[in-house]
Amino acid sequence: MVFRKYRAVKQWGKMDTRIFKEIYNSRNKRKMPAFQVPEAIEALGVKIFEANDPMIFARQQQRNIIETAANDYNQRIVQNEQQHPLFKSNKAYIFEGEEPMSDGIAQASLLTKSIVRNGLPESIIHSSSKIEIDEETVCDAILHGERYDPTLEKLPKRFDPVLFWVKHIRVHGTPVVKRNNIILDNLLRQVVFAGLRTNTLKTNMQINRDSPLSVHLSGGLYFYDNPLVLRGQPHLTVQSSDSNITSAWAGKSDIDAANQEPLPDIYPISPIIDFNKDNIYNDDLLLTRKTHQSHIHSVLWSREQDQKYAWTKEQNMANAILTTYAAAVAEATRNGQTELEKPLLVRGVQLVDGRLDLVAFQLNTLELTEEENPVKNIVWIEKGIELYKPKPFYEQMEQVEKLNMETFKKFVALMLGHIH
Amino acid sequence: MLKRAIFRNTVIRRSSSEVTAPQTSEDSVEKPSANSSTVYRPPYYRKPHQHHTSKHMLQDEFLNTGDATGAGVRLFDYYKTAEMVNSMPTIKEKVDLVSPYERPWTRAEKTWRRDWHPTLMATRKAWGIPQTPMHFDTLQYYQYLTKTRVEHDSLDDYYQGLLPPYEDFQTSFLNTLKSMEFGDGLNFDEEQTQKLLGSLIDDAMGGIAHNVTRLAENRVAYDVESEAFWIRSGFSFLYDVEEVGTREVVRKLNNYPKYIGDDRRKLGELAFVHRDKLAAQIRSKEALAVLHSLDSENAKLSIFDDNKNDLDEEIYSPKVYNLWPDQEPLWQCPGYHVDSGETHSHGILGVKSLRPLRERIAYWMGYQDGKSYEFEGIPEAKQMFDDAARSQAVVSMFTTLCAQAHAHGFTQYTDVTRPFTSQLILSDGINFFFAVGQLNTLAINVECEGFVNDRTNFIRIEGPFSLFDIYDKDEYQTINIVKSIEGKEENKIGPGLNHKVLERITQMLMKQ
Repeated sequence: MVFRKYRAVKQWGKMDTRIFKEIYNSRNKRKMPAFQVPEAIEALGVKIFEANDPMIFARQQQRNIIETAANDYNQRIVQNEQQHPLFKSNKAYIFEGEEPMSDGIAQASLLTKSIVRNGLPESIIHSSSKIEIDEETVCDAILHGERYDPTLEKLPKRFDPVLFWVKHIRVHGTPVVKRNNIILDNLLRQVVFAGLRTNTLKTNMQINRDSPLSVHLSGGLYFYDNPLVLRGQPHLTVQSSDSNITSAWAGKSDIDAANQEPLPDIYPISPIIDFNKDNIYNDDLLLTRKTHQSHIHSVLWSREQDQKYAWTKEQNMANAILTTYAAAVAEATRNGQTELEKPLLVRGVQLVDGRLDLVAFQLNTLELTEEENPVKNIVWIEKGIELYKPKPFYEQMEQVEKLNMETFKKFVALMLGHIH
Repeated sequence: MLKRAIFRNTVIRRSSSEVTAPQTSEDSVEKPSANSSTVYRPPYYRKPHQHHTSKHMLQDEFLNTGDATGAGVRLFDYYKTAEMVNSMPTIKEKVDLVSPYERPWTRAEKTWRRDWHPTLMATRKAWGIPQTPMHFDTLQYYQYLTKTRVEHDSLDDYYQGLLPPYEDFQTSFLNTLKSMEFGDGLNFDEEQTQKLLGSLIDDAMGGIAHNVTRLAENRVAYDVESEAFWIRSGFSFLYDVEEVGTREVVRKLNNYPKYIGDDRRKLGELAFVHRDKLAAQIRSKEALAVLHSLDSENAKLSIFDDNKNDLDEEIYSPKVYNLWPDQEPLWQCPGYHVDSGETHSHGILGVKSLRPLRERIAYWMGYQDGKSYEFEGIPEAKQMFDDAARSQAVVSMFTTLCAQAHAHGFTQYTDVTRPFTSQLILSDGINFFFAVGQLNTLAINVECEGFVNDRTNFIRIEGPFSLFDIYDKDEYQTINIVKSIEGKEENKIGPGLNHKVLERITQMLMKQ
């Protein structure tokens, strides 16, 4: 006998046709249920007409009957919202770090009323030169996030700008933001320990992770009617009980010099073009440890670049400036203070794609941009300086490539540097 | 050397010294102990179980012990696997080789299977041990699963000589508690507790960082996975069935479904997996000092009391203890994957949150919301909580050490040649347990005649200590032991947290 490995596919016969005919016949015989008005439509209170009625058009006096019903419904919801005790009639402009600033640094400096200084001051970089953290430690800190972390989450879909029709397989691993957060955690710990070791830091830092930050500002040219709300959730909020850490970098003469400089002009773009508008219920300051005797040293956070619409370095920097400004304002207004007694300085670090955005924001005035008050803030920035070259999220990093220790030194200087 | 030729007589031979050694007393009769050089390849028709009984004397076989009990086949299999594990070049491959994971059948495989294809045998699943116990009496069961001996005792002598300062730690941690709005800690949820325990480690490290430079070299990971799988033998009783009518208990191995998690040969060796999540972990390049060596008497004490020979009272099906089958891929992951090339491969301290356990106890007690309820004053709830916390310590410690041992190239087939030690803090934010444990053996997956493994794992658990005794109007007060000027020790109530907790955490960080 011949060995047949597979049985031939059975032919479609007349009996199969009969079976299917019977199935379809019985299905046709089954009666459909009568039409019931859905509950959702009944709740709207819509009037329902009989479709077979010959006088249907005469009866249909009101033309947009559904629209009016829907409007009524929406109005009721809005009324309910407005009855909330904290409801405010003016909507607020909201910055959440989700939209890029169209005009980048200039726009951010105009909004925060600050004069931008490129590069950290020489004396700051010099003052922290004795702190030594070797390259191996920094490499290890980076590899911890990029390579050793065991998280296996489903990563986003990969988008290839050239072969955009190709569907790539989904990979699992550590999400980019988590990787960067681990790196920031490690770098900060190394810096703080080095500071404690060399006695540059007098007391230990108090760190809160992923705590919300929100400040509410109004007045000035742009936010007279609608206040501005700056929000963020920096991964690390670093505070210290030592009040010297917020001491200003620029002295009296430097501030006077800065006051003479004009703010950038970004006409015809309006600086508030990129803000969302929404009703805000809680206009209190939101900051961790806000009632304690502690001071914000710095905020550190990371971003993930969108695969299709990556932000430019300018836009990243603008985001960093505004978030650090929020932290500085929070520091100035904690414990219910409304006046700024003396200038203060808060640092911000943003890690995007292996590049650091370093910001030192010196808050000289709490006033928002306007023509009368000449006092301006000063912000020192280091824009998008490369710390290392990351791999795309779908590839595994084996070794740290292009590690730049100069960048790391600037980071150390920002965190630990001080004016004598 | 294993002989590949098929021997007609397959025997487990004792080593010559054992045979010739005169037995001095009847008590010290040594069990026959096999090793790779004494086990020979059995003929292919020998199976671990004798499925067929002879119907008449012509069918009678006169088997040697190894064949009659199935131990010969089992041991050959074990040592052959060990040989294969040893021949694997990388640790990743070793772990993959010993992993009991079997991929579930895909939809296509199930759809297109035809009657003339072989049946799709149920793939092996591991019994998932939950993040905190889901049953109220798990301690001895978990002890058996991990072959761990437990001591409930103070850890003072382990940390003798370490007298760290904890004043800075206390101030900064009090601030942290306030900043996170901890209050009396009853309304905290799991995520907040994880964060709190992370900051606890931050504050503790910050308090001693200026003195202990070594801390900067350690790896600190937050919210990190600690996963391990292992096989535990001794579950053959799951095939015991009481016959209707005769009331005779029969072991049904033929024509009887394989138990979930068991090997396809129905060996009673169940696979277990624990997917643990640590709030914080500290890893180091150097291992902690060991508690005792592998050869010492301490490593060979039995896990239960000596007078307790009958394990039937303790060992039931995993279903009884509310374990559930887990068909996800299995990892050995002590905070890092074994193929990641991690340099800091010794976990010296893990911090685990017990908050889910607290919620579960509230649920068992029948509290309505199941969350914010204080049960510190209710003895039975407290008792359940403490017992469950201790059993969690046992299994968390074993998980992290087992995965670590695998990361260093040891498997259940190639047992550890040096002990692994680690420390653990378990806490729901209010109550603190401290544990120090040591892994002495991994070879707990085989149980048959000729396989002798006396070594047991060890854990010493201390606690619970409450972080504070009284919480009133944002102030914490604790009864602490204070030394008076005359040198007397007194219990004195004062502001602040429990010194014992703070001191122990700092000591754990400093321990080398």
